[in-house]
Amino acid sequence: MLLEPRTSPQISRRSLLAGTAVALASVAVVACGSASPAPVATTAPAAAPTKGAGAAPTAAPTVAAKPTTAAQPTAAASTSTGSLTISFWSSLMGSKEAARAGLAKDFEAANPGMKIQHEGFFDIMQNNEKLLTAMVAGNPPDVVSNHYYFVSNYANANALVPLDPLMAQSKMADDLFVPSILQLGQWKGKTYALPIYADTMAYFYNVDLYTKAGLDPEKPAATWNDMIADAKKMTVRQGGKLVQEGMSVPQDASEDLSNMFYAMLLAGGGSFLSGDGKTAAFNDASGQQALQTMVDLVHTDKVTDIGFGQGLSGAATPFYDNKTGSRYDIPPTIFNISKYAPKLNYAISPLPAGPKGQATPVLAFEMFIPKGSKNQDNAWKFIAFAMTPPEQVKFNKTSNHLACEPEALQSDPFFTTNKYVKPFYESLIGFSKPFPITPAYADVLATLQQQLQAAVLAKSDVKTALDTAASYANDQLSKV
Amino acid sequence: MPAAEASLTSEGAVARKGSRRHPVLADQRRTGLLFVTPALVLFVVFSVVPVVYAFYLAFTDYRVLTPPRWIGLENFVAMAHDPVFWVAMRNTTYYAIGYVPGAMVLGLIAAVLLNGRIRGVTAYRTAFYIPVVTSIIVASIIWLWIYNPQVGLLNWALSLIGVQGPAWLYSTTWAMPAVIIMSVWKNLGYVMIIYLAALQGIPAHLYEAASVDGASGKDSFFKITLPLLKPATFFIFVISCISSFQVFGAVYVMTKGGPVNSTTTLVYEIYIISFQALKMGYGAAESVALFAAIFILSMVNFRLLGQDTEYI
Repeated sequence: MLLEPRTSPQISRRSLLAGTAVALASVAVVACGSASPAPVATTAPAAAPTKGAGAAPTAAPTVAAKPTTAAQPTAAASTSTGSLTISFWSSLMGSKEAARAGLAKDFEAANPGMKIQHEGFFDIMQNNEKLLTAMVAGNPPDVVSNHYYFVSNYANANALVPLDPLMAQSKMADDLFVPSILQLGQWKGKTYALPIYADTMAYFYNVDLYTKAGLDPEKPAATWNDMIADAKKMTVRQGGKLVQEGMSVPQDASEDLSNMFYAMLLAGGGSFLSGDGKTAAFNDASGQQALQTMVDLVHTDKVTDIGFGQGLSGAATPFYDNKTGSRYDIPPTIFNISKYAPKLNYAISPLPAGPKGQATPVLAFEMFIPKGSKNQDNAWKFIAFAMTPPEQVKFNKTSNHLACEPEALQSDPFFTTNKYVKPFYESLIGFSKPFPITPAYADVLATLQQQLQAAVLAKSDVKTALDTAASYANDQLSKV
Repeated sequence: MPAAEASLTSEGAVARKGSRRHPVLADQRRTGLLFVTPALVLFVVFSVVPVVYAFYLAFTDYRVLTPPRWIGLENFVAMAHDPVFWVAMRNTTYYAIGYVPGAMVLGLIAAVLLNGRIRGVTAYRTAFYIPVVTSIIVASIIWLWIYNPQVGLLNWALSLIGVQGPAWLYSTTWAMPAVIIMSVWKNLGYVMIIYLAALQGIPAHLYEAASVDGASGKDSFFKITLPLLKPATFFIFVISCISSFQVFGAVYVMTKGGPVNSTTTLVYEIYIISFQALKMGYGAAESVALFAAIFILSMVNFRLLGQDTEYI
């Protein structure tokens, strides 16, 4: 018998009152059970020193500038008053997992009795979503590590502990860090986050496919023209069907796509935002040229096809499977190749030069303290420990990323000699610029990625796509 | 009124009258309420309150980290002029139009086929139901591979008959049909189980009588089976319409709303607006619009299809 109609019994006033009483009692029990513990640890965010505006970073990094031992943080400077267990939420997973575990272990060894209680998120958005909920609930973790682009948004909402007073207290000077990397954790002149690792972009290419195409793998593409010519030579079709792409052009509305566009935008002399950070600048002639080059790679040069290899992951990723000649990429790919395609014969070189020379964006993963942290003293102690040059070296050697401090970068030959990491290091010190810094970035980025995809899939012309994204961006930037 | 229903109704009436005087029944009712209360409290705290709060947020500018600011109807005015919202609404309707009939027709066919006495019927029923209990994430990833233009099973199968398949998930034309096909495959088993239960509730003597009267199998299906499946069909239709307006997982994993917003559905748009752009107020306004759409759709369903439903 399906969906049999029923008559509902009536509820007497007395039983309703009894039920209500039980309900209220249950709520009271729940409420009592979640009463917040722990006194708030004392940190005194005094007036912070003023730095340059965070909105429009343009300064090139000067790694060789001044590594001084005087600038090193003294992690044990503050007296700890909070819990000995530090809750730590991070997206330091995958290629960073072993390095993060090592950092926690070192910290616990150096601070007997203290414990890092870690919760990991593979997806940076999940980390962000859970943190937002925790912040609003007034119960965030003590330390968080996530992509830099969330920092300005949190800072703009006054949700992070300013780190300048703590840095001063620990004698940690700004010049401990590569300037362009430090900027990624700053907003309106204050430092809210410090970088645990940095990534630039580089040109990955398959040595075997280069050789098979009659190219010299010792001389990878140096300019966009070389890159296009090499990609054409490495493109293989059988019976009209593409079986090997000369170069990968991302087609998802994803970070891969916007990263490639941004790298080419910089190489064309453009910038993401205007100098004051208040309007979009990516739709100027440089932006159009960058995106047109990407579109042409697919539709005119035909070095790949729509859908080729898209959505495949792990060992089936075309580059890992000897089916892609070259691609723009970031350091975590080194870890993935070692995991999924250890026999792949590949090499890495700095990105080919565009019309205005070479350029790469630099991004960082940051560590920061939410304002509601109940354990701010020890949270800072952990961050300061992670910023010591030996720990920076150890973390980034283990995870194949770039350390964020000149002294760390120069103290170990790994960064300057390892054949896979060296191109990223050279790009960092030679011609890197920070990714855009604005609270509206995540929102703007989503729209930009949709429009970039529309252009790459030939569903929109380049100018319309960029102007549409810029119009939306300007609207959002005006509200910051 | 059928006899069974009449007796039930009169029993109910007796019970109601008796409860006012009979201490045992009153005590049972109190006990029942006590058992229900914890679930009721959780439902109120975690469902009713958030829903009511979402209605409030729809009239505010709320960016999560700063307190909500009352802005009246601004979100709704902006929504009316937001092309992506209307694209999402159109895509959701497209999805529902493709998914609901697809799942219902194929689910009914599967149920009819597996209602007979065929060898290994339990294994077949299990096989059809496995996708229902499979995580949408896992199912979506499997279909990502199936749809891959180079190494995917689907294009390989098409190539055997001389057809060159498209880049399914990178085509603004084919991405939504691809999502619909996956969803139909995923939920077919659920529809099938409901229909199977309904089919097994149809008295055999009706078919015997039809057979004696010379009715063909086709006649029996259209004159007996389908009419008696009406309550189940109505239930499945309403549930499927509601769930189709809430599609999210498949879109999130397979297409991220792309290419070029061609698979951006309302719930996906609400997610992006709320959690990526952090415009919770605007996201709440879109949620209210979604609520209104589902509410109206359900009312129309009840009006058009539910009025003369007879429960057997």
